[in-house]
Amino acid sequence: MSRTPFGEQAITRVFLGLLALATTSLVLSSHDLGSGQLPVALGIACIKATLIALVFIGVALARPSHIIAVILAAVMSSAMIGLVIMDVMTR
Amino acid sequence: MTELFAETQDGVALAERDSLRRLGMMVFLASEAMLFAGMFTLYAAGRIRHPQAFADGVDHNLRWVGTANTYVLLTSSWCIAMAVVRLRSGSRRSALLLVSATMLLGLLFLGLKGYEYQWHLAEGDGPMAVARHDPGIALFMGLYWLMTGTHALHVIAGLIFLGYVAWRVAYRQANDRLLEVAAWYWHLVDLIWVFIWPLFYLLGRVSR
Repeated sequence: MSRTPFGEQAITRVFLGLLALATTSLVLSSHDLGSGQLPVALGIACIKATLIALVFIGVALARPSHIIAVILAAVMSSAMIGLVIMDVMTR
Repeated sequence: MTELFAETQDGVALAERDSLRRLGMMVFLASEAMLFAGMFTLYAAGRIRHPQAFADGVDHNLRWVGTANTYVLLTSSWCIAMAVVRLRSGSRRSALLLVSATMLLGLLFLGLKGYEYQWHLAEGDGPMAVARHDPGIALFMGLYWLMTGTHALHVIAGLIFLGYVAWRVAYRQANDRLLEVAAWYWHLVDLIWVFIWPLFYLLGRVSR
């Protein structure tokens, strides 16, 4: 990391946030959100994944040259999943 | 600052070596994420074509096991992140305790996963039996075994990696940077589970 790494307090706060988000997912899964059920569950999962990547893995503090690998993986994965979904939905 | 100019036996600056180690691990983690992205793509396509079968498959799974494993992995991620901070501040003993806690939680995850696999096998839903179901359920169960099985293998690999690093830290043969990259791998395992959990355990027919 090129900057000061996250300390114990920051890590613990993020951990508590992750627990709260997981509990929110669990509670919402028992409610009928109609067509919003999938986007809401995956939206919460994306927020959790972002927190883990930024703070626990430390992407937020990494060198730009290191972040490129993460951004490329995210962009390519999103493109692949998005294109396949469009293909299947338009058949 | 001195470390910036310190050199290893082969003449590579230590700071540069650490940077390369981090970059290498970051690229490796990105490739691992791409592997799972392919499987998530299959899941997305299958769910669009067989929405009811996938919802039924989710309802059939043991939700409490998936949920318990989510909290177990999140807690293990916190433990290993704290271990890195403690080792960085010089508390080797505390760091080793936290790594041990992480590994115990990883074993608990595998234990719960084993219980769930045993339950599926007893129900006749083993990986070899998926072809007996209708196409939608067969695809769901096939993806269930493929994705959770691949993830479980990553948990096992993570435990071996953490065990190796803990041994080196205990004998003062490793610094916080090695533990840091091992922790990254563990966090990736957690990150992937964050998506597996709702897709295989939560997004059912909302019948409960």
